Amino acid sequence: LHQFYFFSIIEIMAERGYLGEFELMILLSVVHLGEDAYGVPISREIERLRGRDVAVGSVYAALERMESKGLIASSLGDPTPERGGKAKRYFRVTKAGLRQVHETRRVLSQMWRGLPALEEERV
Amino acid sequence: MKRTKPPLVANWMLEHLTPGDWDEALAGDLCEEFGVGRSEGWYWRQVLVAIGVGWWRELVGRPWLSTLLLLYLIGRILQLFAGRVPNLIIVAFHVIPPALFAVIHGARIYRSRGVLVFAGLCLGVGTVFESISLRTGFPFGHYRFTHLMGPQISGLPILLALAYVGMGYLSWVVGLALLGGENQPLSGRRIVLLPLMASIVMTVWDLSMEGVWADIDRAWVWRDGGSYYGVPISNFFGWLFTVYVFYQLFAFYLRNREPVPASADHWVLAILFYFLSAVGNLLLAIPSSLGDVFVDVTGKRWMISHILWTSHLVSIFLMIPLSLIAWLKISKQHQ
Repeated sequence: LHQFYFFSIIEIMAERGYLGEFELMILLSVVHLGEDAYGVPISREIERLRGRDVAVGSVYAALERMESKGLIASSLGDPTPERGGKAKRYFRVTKAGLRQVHETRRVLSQMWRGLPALEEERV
Repeated sequence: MKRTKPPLVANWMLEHLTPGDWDEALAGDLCEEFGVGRSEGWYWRQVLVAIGVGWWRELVGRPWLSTLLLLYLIGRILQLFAGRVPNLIIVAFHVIPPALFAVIHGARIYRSRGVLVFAGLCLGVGTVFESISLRTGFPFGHYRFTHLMGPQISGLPILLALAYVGMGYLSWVVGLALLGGENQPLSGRRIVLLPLMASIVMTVWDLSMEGVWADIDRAWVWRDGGSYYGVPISNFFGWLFTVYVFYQLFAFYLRNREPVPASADHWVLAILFYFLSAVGNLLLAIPSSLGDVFVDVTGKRWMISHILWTSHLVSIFLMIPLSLIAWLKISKQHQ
């Protein structure tokens, strides 16, 4: 029964276009960083959370994918010398994006119910 | 001593080899990180991943065209198993994906009517000239087809006619990119220059393939042999003339018509296809069933390894540079 329940939730998530793990991490990082959310701090935040290197190109690919879905919006800042004269691109979460984060949390919270503890946690 | 500026070559690659609009912010982020102590190795990894991710998104975003590219690549790999895989399947994988690619890709630029005109001209002119040559020896020379390329109509394989559409279109796009102004109406000198340029690009492709198809695969037989591995020189001038005729007719059709502007990525996909046909030539190997020597109808002996090396050299020194220059010109014009 649990197995069927699990798959039905996965199917519902796919149908409604819920966020994947990487997208969710990026979206939450953008929320945490507020007005300072651009490529470098977003990538550093994800590196800190995952404990390993992240490709900035992959972060941008996910950001652009979410922007095309209307979950985030972006605007260009001013060019700076330490960036080789190139501008920063700032990201912010839209209302639709925030709604999507809440919806994903709600569904994932249901799925986490009854998750068996790891052996080392039981000891 | 630590370098303060990111590697120039990596920067150049990021700017020119990443599909899509030039992402200034990504380049700035990498530059900023490098400035605060990231290594050159890190910078290179980031650039290569950004290019890879960009291309992956590009191909996934155009599933039909990508699938046809993939099918063509499968065909080029299948040629390594000639003898074990039926020849007709290998030929079909070589010819049908480029032809379908031409129709789908071309419809985006020239609309369905324009691409049908192009396909009709390629098929019509190609078929007429091949048929005349089979009977009179003009313009290519005297030859006959074997049954390697499958069903024939009046001695002419149907799949060969399709090859004109596929490679004809890819060579047209490469020629157009080399000449520039791909999103502008065709007018003035370009009405003649573009067909000339595209004809040369397509004849270069034939130069790389002719010996392989005629001598190694035995898809056709030259009646009197010739000085290019048993192929007469007239064949190449015949190609130049034939493809020039249908390109010129298509250029007249396009004269002063507004094309639908396309992004650099769209153009680059067709150039990439031509590039991959050159890379596919480098995969060619001598079939184990074949000896070391090809003897033409006049009894002249040609080393098969020399035929393959010529195909490789034409690919390396002509086809690949032509496609890379076309690629660079397109990406520069769309910046």
